[in-house]
Amino acid sequence: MSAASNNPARQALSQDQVGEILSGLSAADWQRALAIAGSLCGGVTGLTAEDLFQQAMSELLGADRVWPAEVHTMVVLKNVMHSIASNERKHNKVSPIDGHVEVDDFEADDEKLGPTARSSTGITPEDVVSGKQQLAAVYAAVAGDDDLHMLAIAWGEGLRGEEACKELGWDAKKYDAERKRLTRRLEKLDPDRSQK
Amino acid sequence: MTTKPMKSTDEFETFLATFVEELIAMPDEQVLEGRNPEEVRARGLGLLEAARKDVGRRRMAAAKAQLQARRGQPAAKAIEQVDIALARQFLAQAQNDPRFTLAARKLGELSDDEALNLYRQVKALQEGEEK
Repeated sequence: MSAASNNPARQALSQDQVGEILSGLSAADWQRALAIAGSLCGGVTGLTAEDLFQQAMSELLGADRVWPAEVHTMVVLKNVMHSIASNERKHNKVSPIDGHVEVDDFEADDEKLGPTARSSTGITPEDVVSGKQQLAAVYAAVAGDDDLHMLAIAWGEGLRGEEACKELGWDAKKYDAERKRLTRRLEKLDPDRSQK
Repeated sequence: MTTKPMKSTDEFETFLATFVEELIAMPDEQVLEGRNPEEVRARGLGLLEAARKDVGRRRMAAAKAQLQARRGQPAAKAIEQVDIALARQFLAQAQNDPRFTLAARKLGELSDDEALNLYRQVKALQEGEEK
């Protein structure tokens, strides 16, 4: 792991410090951040991993978001990107235009006189909780792959490393391989995957 | 293998936190496997550069807004100056009006504030006469 975790022990980093940390990220850390961004884009219409990551950096550099000292770089980036993606997801949901709705073509059937689209404004507050959507996106990404599905469940229970290995009945080599596969899968969550 | 659905927002939070912990724990070579590190870094720096430009654009927009706000203040003052000029012009004409001769006698010696006050007084008198 790189040295991205060693932030100065202060309340919040200055904009210059934020800039220094970001410009000093290693290739692996850039990839880690992009992987986190990818995992957060599931179900957010029109927002790619790169869009999300760039927006997070912009908000941190512009001091719209605080970078707490002594918090790992990846955790800070995760928190900011998670917040942006959640807001975006909620915004999509409360809009009267549902980006996930496919409008039907005109049909000759008398009962269907024109294109139809549903508004999403009737949904309950619980439905707009973005965590559910994100979980749905994760599960869609691992659908049909039992190993990845079980690993996703283990992570959802907070189990990782040796503890997860033990629960899953895997050896370290298998765990490493599946972790790598799940990471790659999460990087590519489909932003426009329908949540309905 | 059995499957168990995740059920809460908290569970996603846990999932995400665990995922990030695992990413941090993963060796760099595993994270970058199959990728060109230079290309990955260049991609990241490109996004950083775009983010910096975005911050710059937002700062410029904020500075422009401030400038416009500042320009709005002198504009208001200019209107006031026009009012003073009109007031003096009005008072100069009023000097020839037998009703206000006394009031406008020292017009040239009056400050702007005094001229405006006098203007208001004469205007009020004029309006009173006309009623």
